Amino acid sequence: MNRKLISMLLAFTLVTALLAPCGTQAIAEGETYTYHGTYSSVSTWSPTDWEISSEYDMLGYTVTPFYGFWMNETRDGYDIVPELAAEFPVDVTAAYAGNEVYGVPADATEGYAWQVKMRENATWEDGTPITARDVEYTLQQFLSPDMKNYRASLFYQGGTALANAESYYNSDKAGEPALYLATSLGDKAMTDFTAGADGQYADADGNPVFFAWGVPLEYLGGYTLRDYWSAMDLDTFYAVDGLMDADGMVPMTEDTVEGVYSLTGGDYFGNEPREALINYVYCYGTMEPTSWEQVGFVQDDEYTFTLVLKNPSTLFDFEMNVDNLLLVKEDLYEANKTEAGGIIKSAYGTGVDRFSSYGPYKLTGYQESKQIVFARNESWFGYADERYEGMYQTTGVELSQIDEHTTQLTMFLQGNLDAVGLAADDMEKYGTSDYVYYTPTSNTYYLALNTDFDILKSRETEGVNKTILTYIDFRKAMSLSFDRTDYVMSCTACSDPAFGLLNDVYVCDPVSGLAYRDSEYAQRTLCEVYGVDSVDDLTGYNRDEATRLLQSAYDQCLTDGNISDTDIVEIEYHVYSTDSANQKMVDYIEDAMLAAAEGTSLEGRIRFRLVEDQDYYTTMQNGQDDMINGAWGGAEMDPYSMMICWTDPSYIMEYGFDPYQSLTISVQGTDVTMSYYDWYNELYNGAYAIAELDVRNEILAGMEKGLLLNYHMIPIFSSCGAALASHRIVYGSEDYINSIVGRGGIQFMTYTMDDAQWAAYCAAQNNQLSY
Amino acid sequence: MLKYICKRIGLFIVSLFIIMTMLFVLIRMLPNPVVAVTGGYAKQLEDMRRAWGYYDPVIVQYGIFLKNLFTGFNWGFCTTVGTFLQPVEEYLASKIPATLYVNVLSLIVSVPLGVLFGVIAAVFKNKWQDQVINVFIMIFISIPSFVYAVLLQYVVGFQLGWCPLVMDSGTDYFSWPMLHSVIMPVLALSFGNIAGNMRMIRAELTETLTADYMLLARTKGLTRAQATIHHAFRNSLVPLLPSLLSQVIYVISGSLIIEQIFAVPGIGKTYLASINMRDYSVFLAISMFYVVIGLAAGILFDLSYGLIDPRIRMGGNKTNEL
Repeated sequence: MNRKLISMLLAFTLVTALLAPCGTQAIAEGETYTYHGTYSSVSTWSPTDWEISSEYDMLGYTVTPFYGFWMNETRDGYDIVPELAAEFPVDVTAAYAGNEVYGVPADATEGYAWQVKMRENATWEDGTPITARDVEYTLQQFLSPDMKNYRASLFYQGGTALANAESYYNSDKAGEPALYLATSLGDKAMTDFTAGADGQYADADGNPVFFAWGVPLEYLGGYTLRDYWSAMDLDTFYAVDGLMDADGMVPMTEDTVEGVYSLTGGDYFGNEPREALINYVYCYGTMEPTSWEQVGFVQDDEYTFTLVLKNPSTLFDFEMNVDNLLLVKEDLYEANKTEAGGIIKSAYGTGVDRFSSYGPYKLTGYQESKQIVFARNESWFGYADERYEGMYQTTGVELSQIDEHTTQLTMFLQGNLDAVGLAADDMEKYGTSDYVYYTPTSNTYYLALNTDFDILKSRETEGVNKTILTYIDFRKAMSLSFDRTDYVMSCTACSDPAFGLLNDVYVCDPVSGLAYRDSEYAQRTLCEVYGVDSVDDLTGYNRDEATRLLQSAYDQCLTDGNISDTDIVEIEYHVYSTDSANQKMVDYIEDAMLAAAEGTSLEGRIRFRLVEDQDYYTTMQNGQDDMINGAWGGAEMDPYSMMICWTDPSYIMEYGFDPYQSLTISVQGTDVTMSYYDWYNELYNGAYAIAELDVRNEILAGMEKGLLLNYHMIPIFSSCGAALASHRIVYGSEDYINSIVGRGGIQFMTYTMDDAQWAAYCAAQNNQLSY
Repeated sequence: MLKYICKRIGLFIVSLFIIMTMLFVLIRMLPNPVVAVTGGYAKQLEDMRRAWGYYDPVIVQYGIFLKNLFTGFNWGFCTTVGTFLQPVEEYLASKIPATLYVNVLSLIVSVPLGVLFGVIAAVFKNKWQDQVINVFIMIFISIPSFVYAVLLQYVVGFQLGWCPLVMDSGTDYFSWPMLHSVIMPVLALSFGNIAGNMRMIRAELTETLTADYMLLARTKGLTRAQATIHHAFRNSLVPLLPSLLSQVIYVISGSLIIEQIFAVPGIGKTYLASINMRDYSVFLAISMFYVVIGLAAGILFDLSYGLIDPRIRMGGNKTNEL
């Protein structure tokens, strides 16, 4: 009897084990693990239309990328894993080299064409298989000329720009006479146009001809002629600029030809010949339509497709960028299309019935401005895939839109939220909690200074001096006058002091995970700028030197006749809001400057004036203030691209800095001189874009050093987010790894209590948890 | 009376049209009708603007707007608020119920309570009941509603655990969980109105109770209660009506702060968002919504004066006399 019973038990155990799912975290029957969080405003999470990060975050629960970036076993980096793809992409450039339709160069050997084999067991949440046809349909919607989707440029610009995608996107304008770039219409030359009696140039049919003055041009790397204002005589610039219409066009006349040629025929443009003006001309013509068959997508078989790119891509970049290809379900997308005003839009991704998941979770509830609910998507292949073992313990996700921070925090303390962000005022109470997590961001905040003499002079009033800001000693004194470590502790919630323009978050080598700031060149730059032997000694604070520099700046300013011995130096500091945080910040800097000025001729003669200005970036770009708090962030895996923010005229906020001034950088022992702007272009798009990592870092560090030594930007701090996690949450990694995997996200999140246990635990503490 | 009503409706339509025209023209004259974006998406937005005629003369744009409005009740499309290109009327329709729910409940609470306590204060003038009510009037009037909101949330919601901290999700407005979840926002919104109504009724009723006709009524044999209810109380309601008018508009517009604190998915914060995010179609539609409510409420309450106080007659050319 006993043997019989034992046999039956063994058999039952065996059957149970066989029937048990083999992937993801083992969850006992009846146990639920619901993650309760918050979200900010969401309008659409359609892959073709999402705009803000909170919308993209929603997609993170409901889609499976082709290649996942998973936290590695040692929990200090990531592994790239094929997810929706069955295997890693294959470079098939050789098969397309010389292809005239796609424009792949005949000598191309790599990077242009990538073949992706999809897994065959992936389905939509209703069980419909996902095939290469879904990829094709999705791309057609992304690039639809009739829809003008918000995310269209993901596939006609940048790393995943497909061959001919841009002309397909614009093919709604084909076939009708319209203004086109002259060079896109075949063999056009300046001699094709003649001036009429009114001085306006026209083509042979009498149609007017224009300069693309305010229109981004591929010929100029995406910039406009207008962006090069500082390379022109200002009177000429204003004369041409004043003729620009709403479309960015300037009529071609004798005067405008000469005006534009004064720019393109000058040094900045390498003394282009007059005939090269054709590159900037728009004239009427008719363009042939581009068919979908000409776009760089090829369906090889039911589960295999090839993307033919406009520009070559590395394997890593392709794997990363192709994750932008989030699929839409054809029947739902089509069913939700409407036409209004000649534009077709799809309401896909705006409701439970208007979206289909193919990720670990599916949308089950949505109330606008209130709540989003996700449940496990049982159709997802990952739940039966052993590679996902130990992951996705979360069985459901409930996100609430709660705008008020106090309400969020109170709900968290009740146990109704599993995580809450902390504000500066919370840090005193929770800053040292065992449950607090700090997450660095890529944003570096700096004092952005106006250094243009003329405009500062024009803004001076009786007894008030501003032009001393143009003296580099004064600006350097500002930089050295305050202790950044003390500053962040006094004025911010949980930030880190910043010394460079790029902080520790930036990774210069995505494969090894090397941070740019850890590179030899980046470290040397900071040591040289701040005069220390090691980055460990960095404080950025030297009051004695600041005092000396203030006196020096004052003496020079007095000698030049730009300040009187009774003038007050007033620095107008424009901020978005004159709240207590900004007031504290300006008070701190003012106190530091006044302390540094003690014993100098400027003692008691420096003041900062806080001005509320919700458009303060634009104000600074127009030179109508003295100082703002600037910040740039993003592109954490590509620090080289960030230089655009400080060297491109259309991005630069700091009025008075000339990005066309020369900078000499020693590149592998050879001094190379070009303008800041050209350095950026060469580093990002030009000859150094594909150089060795060491070379690129040397150039980047050289540019950073040049900018920092001009002291028109004074780095202060790098922002950092702080959040509390509930007693039951365990992140995949205690430490923040990098911007790609963070702490492992919901994929690696586990719980010490299920929902029922958590409710009982909270109730036992009277729903007032202690952190 | 009918002539008067027709005249008021006619003026209502003219006023509405003038205000709408002014709003539309001023809004479309503002630069940058669709907020600019940095990055690679300006081209798409530019295409959208062109497709929707944003570069035509304002008069042409207004013609298109009126045509769309009168032929399809089309108020335009969302740009930065709501889903891009979502019809404005559809978007706003999803926001109004929550605001109405909370604020109508607030009215239901505040009007009777305000009247009741106002009557008690007047009847017991200068007695302890009146003193206590006066203290509450001062407190409720002088402290803004968001202070109550935070206090209620902390004490009643967190410390005592009697009510949920935020409004329940969903649209089942007649369920107990939903009603339970809005008790705190309703109370926070009501305190000020209760105090206002109490003060007004108290002042009016106190004056009325000492009027000669009250003495006459009492001498004719009516009890104090009968005289108060049938004569004094009715008269004291007359000045309450204009006050209710403003409360009704307040009800519709919602409270930005209360909606934010209690996570009410209403229209109040949408209005502010439309201004901050420069979504002018949404701004215009909400503004017109408020204008319609305000003008309609004005007519409604003017007409209701006659019902409350038969001595008031509308539309006559001659002076109405008692």
